[in-house]
Amino acid sequence: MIDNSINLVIGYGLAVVLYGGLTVHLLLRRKALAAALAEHTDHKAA
Amino acid sequence: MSITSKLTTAGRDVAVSTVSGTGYRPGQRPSKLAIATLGMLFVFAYGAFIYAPEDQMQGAMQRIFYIHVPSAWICFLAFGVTFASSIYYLARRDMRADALAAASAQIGTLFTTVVLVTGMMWGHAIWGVYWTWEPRLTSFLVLWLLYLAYNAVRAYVPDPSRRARFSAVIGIVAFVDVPIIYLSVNWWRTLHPQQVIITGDGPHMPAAMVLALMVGLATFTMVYAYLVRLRLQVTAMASELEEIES
Repeated sequence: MIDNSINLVIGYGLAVVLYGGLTVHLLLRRKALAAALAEHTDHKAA
Repeated sequence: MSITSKLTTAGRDVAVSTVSGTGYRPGQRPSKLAIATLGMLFVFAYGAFIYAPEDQMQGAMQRIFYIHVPSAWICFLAFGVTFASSIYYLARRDMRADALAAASAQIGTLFTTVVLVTGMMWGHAIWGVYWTWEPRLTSFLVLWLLYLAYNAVRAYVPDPSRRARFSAVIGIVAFVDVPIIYLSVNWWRTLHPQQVIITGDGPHMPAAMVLALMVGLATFTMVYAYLVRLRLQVTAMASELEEIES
């Protein structure tokens, strides 16, 4: 039987980092954009 | 394309996500899709690491199959969506189709990277080498390079309509590689295994493994859908901000 669990960890680890990383990046970007849009609306209202 | 509106929260007007169709409001709870996707990821982990039996020959290493194959399926789905949206864009010049094509290609590129790396890890364990220039691997590498080119065009062409037109052409041409990848194991003698699920006489693996794989396919399809939606929201909000600031 092949015992090469480090390769398994690297494969799954990379997937978690890439999929998770993109999700977090997009969530933070969306939050920042929402804040910027809210600021513009506040300025307009003032 | 976008509609600016306001929402009163705690006696104060705040901007609502302005882009029609994004459905995003600041401070809103996670969407049903986000919660369902997170739940499915736990089910997937249980299926891939506990429920599915260990392969007698490959041992634990075979469990990389449950992320490698669904990620490959998502590549085909993502680039299929880019292909269809690109055709629609060229026919109707609808920028929403361009945004969908771009979001799908970006996320598809990420999935392709995972397919290549998990494939290399698996190949090293089984074949003793990380890489070999055989048809399935080579055609998949070509796909990755084609979509890197697609993303590069999107990043470096400043004019939106030229960018959309150029990338739509690449999105259509690049998709030609997808059927080549799928059929490469039938057309040529390859080191890569043949299809084990879609065969003339049913799946060539135990039912528990097939079930874990199906859960993986469903889970990563949801991950893809969630990421595409999030990417579309960000794109729409960014262009609205740009519009306001210009």
